[in-house]
Amino acid sequence: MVNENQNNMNYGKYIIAWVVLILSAILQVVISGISLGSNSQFYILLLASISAFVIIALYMTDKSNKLISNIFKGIILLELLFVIFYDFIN
Amino acid sequence: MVSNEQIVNDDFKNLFKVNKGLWIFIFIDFLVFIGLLAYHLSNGFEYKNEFVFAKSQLLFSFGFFNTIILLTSGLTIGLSKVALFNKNNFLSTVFVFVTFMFAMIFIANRAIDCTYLLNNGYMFGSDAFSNLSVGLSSFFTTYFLIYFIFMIHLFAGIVFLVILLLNLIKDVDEKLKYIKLNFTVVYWSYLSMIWAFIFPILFLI
Repeated sequence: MVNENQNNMNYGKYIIAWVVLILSAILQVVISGISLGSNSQFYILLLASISAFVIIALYMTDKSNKLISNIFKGIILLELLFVIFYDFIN
Repeated sequence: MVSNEQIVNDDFKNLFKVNKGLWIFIFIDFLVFIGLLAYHLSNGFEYKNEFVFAKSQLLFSFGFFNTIILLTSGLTIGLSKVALFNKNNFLSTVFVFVTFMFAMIFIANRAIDCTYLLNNGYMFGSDAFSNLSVGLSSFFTTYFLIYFIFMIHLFAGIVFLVILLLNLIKDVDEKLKYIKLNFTVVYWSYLSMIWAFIFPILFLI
């Protein structure tokens, strides 16, 4: 049923992504504790958006509905851009 | 004419097929969550001092611990997918069970958090709640609303995990196992993604 050549999924990328997500959460807490004024809000939201994008890109895969999953990824990317320009909007 | 390679690729893609209904649900649900969180943020600008005080009343360590729990449960459900793909049904079942246990820890953690807030008079609907200032009641109303909606999602996720566990234990079609597992992985990852926004907005900003 499954081509053995394609059967090359490994645990590594999931573990790396988990480490990135945990580090992102810790970094958010550290940033919230540092007095960076309104910038801290920007950095925290930026990190949250990056975390969300990592989860979508790696975990929320749908090889048969690539269009829909890509649209969803695009929305998160737009949100990421919004966060990046958050300071300019306000 | 369709080549053998094409047939294999199509089979491979079908293994990871997710119901379009789930994507539509996620799409709409995500907008609802973002709307609620944006409303909470905008209230934070209006009642800045009261929001700072309200956050100091929360059990931050519990919120952070829940974040670690949920992110780790996302890892274990992802690993169960890899294990099943590598034809290790037992390991996949173990990973799904571990995810289920993490979900239980999350709920227990949340119950302690809610009890603490209830005892301090911050629980939405309690008598003491009506005496709170506008800013504080605004904070805790959206706080509990977001948390309550998230918990409904979590309970639905637990139902999916139980169904998946039963399917992994039972001798059902291998293809069906892949499809159900991928559905649960996408849904559970969606919960992790939402939490990636809930935690910083409710506890940090």
